[in-house]
Amino acid sequence: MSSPGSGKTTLLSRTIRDLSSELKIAVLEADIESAVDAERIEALGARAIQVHTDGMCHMDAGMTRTGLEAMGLEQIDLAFLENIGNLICPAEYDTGAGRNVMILSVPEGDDKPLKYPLMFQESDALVITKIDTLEYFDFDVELCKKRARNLNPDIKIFTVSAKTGEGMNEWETWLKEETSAWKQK
Amino acid sequence: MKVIELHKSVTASNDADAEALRQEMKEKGPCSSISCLPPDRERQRFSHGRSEI
Repeated sequence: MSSPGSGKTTLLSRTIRDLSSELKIAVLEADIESAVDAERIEALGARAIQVHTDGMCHMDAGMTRTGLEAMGLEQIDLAFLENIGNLICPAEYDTGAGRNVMILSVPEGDDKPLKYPLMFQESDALVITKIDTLEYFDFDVELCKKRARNLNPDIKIFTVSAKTGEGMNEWETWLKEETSAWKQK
Repeated sequence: MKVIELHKSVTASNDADAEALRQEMKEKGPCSSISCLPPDRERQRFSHGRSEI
């Protein structure tokens, strides 16, 4: 979950490239229009399907189930659902996902936990992306972390640049650990 | 590329549905919990969705 342009598909693309030898990954891409995101994922060799939501600004569990049934999950270790890009509706509907991850990019500003608290409260992890642009923006990483943890003390926070690879190892290690833990339950 | 068109004409799921889906995935595994359709249909249409916010 994130706002448009935060780097959801770029983070997913980098993650798929990095983990392709260890995990079989599929992606359910939800958008109002177009299939550009799913095409980017499919070009990496991962299984992908595009869901159009008929103008709705969110996914829910029934919609997720429909997408999963159409995509098929045979021989898949980890399935991502890339929700519609906004910081309001996706937080209000439970998609049935095992874990919720929010992405916040540096250019969006460190005040987003103050403006969109539910998104941070509903997320298991926060990935702060585009940290390679920190020198160009007045984004206080520690203040943003503090604000997020005020809303959700248990939230895991990662700072990454999918472009340079900085921080990707920590994010991907968490993903692998959560995937392994999910399988063992 | 397979594209699924959802429709907001039908009331969709609630939190109980979400928990049920999560439990199915956890207990039975993803493939055995739902019908794993062969990826051979290019475009499917489903009546599904709920009110737009």
